Amino acid sequence: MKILVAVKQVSVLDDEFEMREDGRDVDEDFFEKDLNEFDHFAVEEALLIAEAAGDEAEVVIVTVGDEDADDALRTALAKGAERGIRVWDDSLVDADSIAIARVLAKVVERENPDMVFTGAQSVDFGHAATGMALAGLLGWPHAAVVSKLEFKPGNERATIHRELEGGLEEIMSVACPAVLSIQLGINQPRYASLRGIRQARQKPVDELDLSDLGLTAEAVKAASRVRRMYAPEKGQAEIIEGSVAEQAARLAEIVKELRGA
Amino acid sequence: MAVPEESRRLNVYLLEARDPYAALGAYPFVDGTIRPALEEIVLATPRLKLIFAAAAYTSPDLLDRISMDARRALQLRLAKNPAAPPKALARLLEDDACERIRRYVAMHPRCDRTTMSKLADNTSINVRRAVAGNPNATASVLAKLVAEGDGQIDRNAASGPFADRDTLQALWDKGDRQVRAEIAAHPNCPEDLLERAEATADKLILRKLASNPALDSSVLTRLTADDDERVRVAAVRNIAVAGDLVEESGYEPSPKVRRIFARCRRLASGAVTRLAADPDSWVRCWIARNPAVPGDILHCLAIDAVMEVRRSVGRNPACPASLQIALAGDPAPWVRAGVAMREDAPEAAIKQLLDDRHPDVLSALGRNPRTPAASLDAIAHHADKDVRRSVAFNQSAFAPLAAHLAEDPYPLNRVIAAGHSNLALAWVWRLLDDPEPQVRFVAAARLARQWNPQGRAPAASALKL
Repeated sequence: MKILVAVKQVSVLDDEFEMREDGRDVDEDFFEKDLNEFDHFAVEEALLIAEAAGDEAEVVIVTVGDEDADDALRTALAKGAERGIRVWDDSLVDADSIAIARVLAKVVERENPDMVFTGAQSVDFGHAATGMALAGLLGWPHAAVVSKLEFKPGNERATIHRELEGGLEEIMSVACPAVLSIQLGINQPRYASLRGIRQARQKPVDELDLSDLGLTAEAVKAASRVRRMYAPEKGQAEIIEGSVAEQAARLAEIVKELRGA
Repeated sequence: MAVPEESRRLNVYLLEARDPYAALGAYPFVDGTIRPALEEIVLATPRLKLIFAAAAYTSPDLLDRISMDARRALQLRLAKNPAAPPKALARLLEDDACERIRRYVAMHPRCDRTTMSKLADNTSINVRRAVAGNPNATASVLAKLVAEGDGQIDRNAASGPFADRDTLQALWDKGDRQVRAEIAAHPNCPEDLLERAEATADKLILRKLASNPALDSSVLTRLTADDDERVRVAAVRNIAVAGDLVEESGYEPSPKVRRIFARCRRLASGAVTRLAADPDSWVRCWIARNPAVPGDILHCLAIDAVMEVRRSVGRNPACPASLQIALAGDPAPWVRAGVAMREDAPEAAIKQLLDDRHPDVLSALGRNPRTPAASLDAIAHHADKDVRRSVAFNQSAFAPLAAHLAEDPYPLNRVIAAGHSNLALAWVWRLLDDPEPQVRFVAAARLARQWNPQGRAPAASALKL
């Protein structure tokens, strides 16, 4: 029994930041790097299933990223996952969700897991696309935004709950292996013990490049491209003071000013 | 081991480990000769400079050093950092600073008089407005600014603590009702202006007047009978803060006012009984917490239907021991927790609470220095990280418990344990290798502080982690 969990090192923005000179992203100096919040829940769900199954279950963490992404990988390993895989190639610098999914699909073929978990989305870009694109490339059953999961190793099907609009909840049954993107709140992620953190430094991490997976730079070329990123100009705000009547009068003035009356 | 040798050992560690967070923690307390080397470690990358420029826990000396960097993002962060020293703030203005930076410096509480005076002449009206709003703006700066005739400057200056009588008089003569309201609340408000404020029918001005700490008690008493609820609230609060006896002038219809009454330490006779039976539960909460309330009234409040009222009785410093024992058996955990956190709780109450399993009660017991060691041990091993943390705050917890919490999986618990007075120094040394930067910061600061407790540290409030 093997569960593969795809995680991402995300960039969290400081409150004040500057753009890169090419105007396509924020200057890297203003990023705080961290394991994607959704991925904490995906890792925890995999660990809960593996721990209930005993020694025969294995949780493998995979990430696509440069050396900086090792921190995210080790964070997940410190919680109890057995080993990690990090894939990187300079041609992946501008990779979009689909390109990342192509890389992950090759890792899945290589690892042959019984289940694949991802976070429902990443907190930095929020495409929520990688997991479902991966399922599409693999041709596997899938479910997005999973808020409850009933699955035991060896089961041919998993029962999942999904949160829908309007407070509705959907219960689905999916054939396994499947790709599931995990929603926040499905469990309570653990904090890694100090021992776990120290052990994670020694856990095996396979560092792969595209050729190891039989891919070429052309195969992972991004289909989309960020043309420009900028902070739109903010509207003006005014705190209106005084009594209710005074505030109402000022409000009426503002409306008139905006209408050009 | 001799102290200087330990100090040298720490210096060697800091230089070899090159950990910016440990270096930052130790920096205010180390010998001046090692500081330049630590500065290099702390400010090694642009990212680190940006992080520490914005952090209120960064040493003022380091912030001063960062202010020498001309990067705009750094300057902006420094200008907004409450720990930035006056020298660094002044330096930010040297090289044609943008208006945003000038404005932040102008409103900074540590901006010195020379810099503020210079900014009062700035070409930007927004900067001058910010100077007028700075609580440290001097009387002469405010006098100069109000001569401009800008409404926003006038409003800001009218509430400036250093505004003198002449400035307030000038502002009153030309100001609108909001400016006059601020003047009416000002402790330096001239007598004749107070009289004019008192004579007005404008409730905005009267509300502010009622909050003036320099107001005559007879005027305040009159304002407690005003027909405007917020005037009465301000007046009663003002009397209560001064600690004077509060006289009620008949039935008070507003629960907001009665809540303030209930907090007064000196209440007129009959008021306590009436407030204890008030239909508003917040009034009863405040009276239940009031140490001036006699025991028989507290006994009645201890069986109130509202849980918060009963908890307030349990938190009252004057709560009798017998009542504490009764409340330790209350059906609501929140009420029991109120008793569990009392350092003066009677032994019988503590004993009763030791069998409790509710996290609120356990957290309160975990912080209580009178909780027996065996119970603290159980609490320190609880499954809930927040319950465990309570023991880290308890300075009576023995060394092994502090050491146990120094290995807690939850980083915040390790941060607090690192500062625990009973944590052995050998353990503090181990924490220098902790994966969490905050833990390393606190551990290094604690070790370095031993040999130089007078180091130039940031304000204590900035170190509340």
